[in-house]
Amino acid sequence: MISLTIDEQSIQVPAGRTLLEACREHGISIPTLCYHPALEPYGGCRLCMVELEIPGRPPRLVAACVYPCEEGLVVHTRSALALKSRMMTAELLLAGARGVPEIEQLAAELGVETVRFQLAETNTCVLCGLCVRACREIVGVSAISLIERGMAKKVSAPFELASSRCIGCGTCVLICPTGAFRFDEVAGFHNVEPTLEGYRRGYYRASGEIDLRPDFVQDLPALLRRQGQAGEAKG
Amino acid sequence: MAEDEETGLPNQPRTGVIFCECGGLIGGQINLEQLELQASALPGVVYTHREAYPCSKDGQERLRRAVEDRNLERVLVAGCSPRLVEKLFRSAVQATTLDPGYLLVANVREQAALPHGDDPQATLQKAAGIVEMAAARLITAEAAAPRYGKVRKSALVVGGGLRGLSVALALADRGIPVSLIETEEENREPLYNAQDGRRRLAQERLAAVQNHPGIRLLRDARLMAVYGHPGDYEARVALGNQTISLQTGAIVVANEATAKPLGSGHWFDRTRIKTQNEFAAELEAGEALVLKDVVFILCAEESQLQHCSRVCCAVGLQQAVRVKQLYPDANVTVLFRELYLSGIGRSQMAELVQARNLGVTFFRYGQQLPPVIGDKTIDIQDLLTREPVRIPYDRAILSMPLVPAGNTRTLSTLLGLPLDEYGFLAEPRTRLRPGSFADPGIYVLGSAQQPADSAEALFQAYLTSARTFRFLNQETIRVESPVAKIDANLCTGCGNCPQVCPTNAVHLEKRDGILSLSTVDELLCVGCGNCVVVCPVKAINLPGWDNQEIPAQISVALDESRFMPGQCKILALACEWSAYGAVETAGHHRIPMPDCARILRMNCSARFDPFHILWAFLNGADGVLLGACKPGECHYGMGNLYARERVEVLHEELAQHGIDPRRLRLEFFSVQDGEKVAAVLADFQNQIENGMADRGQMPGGVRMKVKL
Repeated sequence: MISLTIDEQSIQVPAGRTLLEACREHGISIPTLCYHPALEPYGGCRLCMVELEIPGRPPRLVAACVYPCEEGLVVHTRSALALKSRMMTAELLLAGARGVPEIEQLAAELGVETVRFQLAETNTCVLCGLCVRACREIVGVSAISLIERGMAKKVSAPFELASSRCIGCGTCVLICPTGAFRFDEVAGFHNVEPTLEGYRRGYYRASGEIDLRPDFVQDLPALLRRQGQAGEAKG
Repeated sequence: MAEDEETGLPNQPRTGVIFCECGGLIGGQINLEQLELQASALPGVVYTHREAYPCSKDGQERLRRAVEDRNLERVLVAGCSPRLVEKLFRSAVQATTLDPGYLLVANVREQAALPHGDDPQATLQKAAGIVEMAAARLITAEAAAPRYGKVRKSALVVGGGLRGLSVALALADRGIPVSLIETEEENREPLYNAQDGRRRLAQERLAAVQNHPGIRLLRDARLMAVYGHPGDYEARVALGNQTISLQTGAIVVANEATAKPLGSGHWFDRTRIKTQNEFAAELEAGEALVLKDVVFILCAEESQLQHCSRVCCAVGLQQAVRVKQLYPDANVTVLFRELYLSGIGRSQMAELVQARNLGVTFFRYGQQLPPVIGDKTIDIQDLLTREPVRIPYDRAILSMPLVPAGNTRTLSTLLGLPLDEYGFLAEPRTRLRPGSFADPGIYVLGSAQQPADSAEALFQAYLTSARTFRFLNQETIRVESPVAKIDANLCTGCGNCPQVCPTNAVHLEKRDGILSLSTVDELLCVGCGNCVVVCPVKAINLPGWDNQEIPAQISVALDESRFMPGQCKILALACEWSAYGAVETAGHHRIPMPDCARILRMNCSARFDPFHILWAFLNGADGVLLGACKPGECHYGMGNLYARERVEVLHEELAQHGIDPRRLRLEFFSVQDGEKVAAVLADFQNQIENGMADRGQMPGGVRMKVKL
């Protein structure tokens, strides 16, 4: 067990936990965006910044979702420095994704009122990478990835063509926090549209008439047994 | 399941229910204390627990301990989307006594807490309904165990063209034994593309194949039958008079397309009117020809308007240049609709320039006015000037479309690959379940799928050989999807199930007596449940989605006590790939949804059993909504179209029995259609509440003849 202090509260956690996990375990809430329990932490959105107090040194900001718990660590999750950092991040996110309810709510919770930055175009995708990682880690097919660098960075299938690796499970759509993910762009279903001709060929032939009485089904084994006994008696 | 000594009833399995507060996201909206209390009264529940984040490492640790300490046989986690976290929880209990298949995640966050947060009572009711449905499923369902299959390290290549030879060589060079079938009717010398070195390349490859110790070349052979499953196929091949059996791990279909011959409709002078193939042979023969006016007509067949064969333009151009080089005095004219030059680099472009420089005349004709071939002249309307042009000819060369090789249809039947409308093999089934990464060991490439030129053909060959090698290189295949089981005592051998199976996993076998018996190949079965629906005697079980757990869930979902008095009751059977995902997307984005709808997660719309729909009506449902994938997007091929057919039939039957057919509604969704699913549910609720007199009615003891 490792003991450390988080927000003046001294706590003990098993070795190998991250600061975020320790905080959540002890009811200390830290905002996150790119974190998902089913995925490896990524440290991409920088919303979970917390302050480390190191004696004799200036305070240090670290991302709680990837920073491991260490013996004797003193952590402040709501210090002015950490809050300022989160507000800045939220403001930048909001500048890029204005009008996305999830991001606006997040910014409001962090106390961001005005946005000082103007972007020529806004994009609902905030590049948290959840879809890419879910595709790799949960589904296991890696049909999508982050392509390009800097301002041009975006989520796409290789060569921006509908991916043949995609199994169309929709996990990426489900995990997207802002609803930016457009499924058709990645999945690009290329199955043939079945036709009446296919029906005639028997691709999806329907069966004959059946009786739906539930008791009919139950009767059948008994019926077969009776027939068997009758057969034996005759034989 | 042991039986209780006193009552004689089966003991309920020991069930634990974990409630996730999701850091207040669920806990703040649903009265979890109340929910926990209600859940602890459910049959078999011996343990309930509430915590902030069960998905954290500590939470997983506690779950593991609870399973071991309390000897739990079933675990239900009421939290968020099963798609995202079920795998996580299942891996958490991997090392315990609990079979991971007996752990379920019920989504109360996206289905109850987020969309209906403003009405605490309704939210609690809905959440309780969801938990009870999941508990009913847990108790009645049987967990599907993963299946493993060995991969046989050998490949069978069908088709001896450039592609087939290249694939065979590439695989054999990597140490995979290959059998290469060259079909009887196959045109081994790929026709008219003599100029681009393709024939030379193919001949070199053929020599290499013949000398390769790892390749068995079967000439004039024919694929007769294919049995088995990915990784282990048995192929019967007719070789002359005998039939041999080949064991193989993967099958590569690479047969070449052939140019369509001139049909009987062309009654005119065949000495002057030739196909590109015939003309190539003529030029090849090397005899001096008398050529004065040569006209090439590209896209000579009407079908080429829709379906480009992709090589004929290049070939026509090459031949035009060749004629001009051999006979500089000849007038060469090319009539084209569109020029499609796809060659690598700009070589074909250069050819076009060369043709222009040599003095070849080009006329473009419109789609509506194809060239009219007369006795001595060809009439067209030039698209550029809109002037009619009459061109004399002593040779007219028609480019005919590439059509699938003659055995394509047979291969389609043998391997279960659908054909597209031009008769080519359509995209093989690429949509399998996640978790079951058994790509079917069947690969289709090249002209079997669509016409392509040599460079593309080689590219496809290398790509396919790499994919095949990767497939063959794995030791075992693991398939996790549910698998259909057939009760031999009930099966009457009617033959319905093999007809509807999307993967040809069901076969009829002979057995003693008059009845034959259906058998399921466990590795091919993808668990769509179509066979379960069409089985007239219900002899097929699909653990997880069976005729036990689904009706049990329906009964629980429509329980009177979980609805407000007078509230309308909607049951939605939702395919987990589309409608169920759409519901979760809607919840995720907090789109309000009617709280009277209960969502039942189904594996595929093919599993929408008329029996279950009627069961829902019998249980007092006011409306049944079926949510399927959009046409063409079904993960199991055509499950959604089966559903559509069945619903159409069922509508008629319902009307005949005095039930408003509008109470059964089928809608198609994609995962991202959160708003649509909310709107459809709201509209359905509105329709039922305001427009239907007979809501909730179901004539008692109805015995319906239902055509499935």
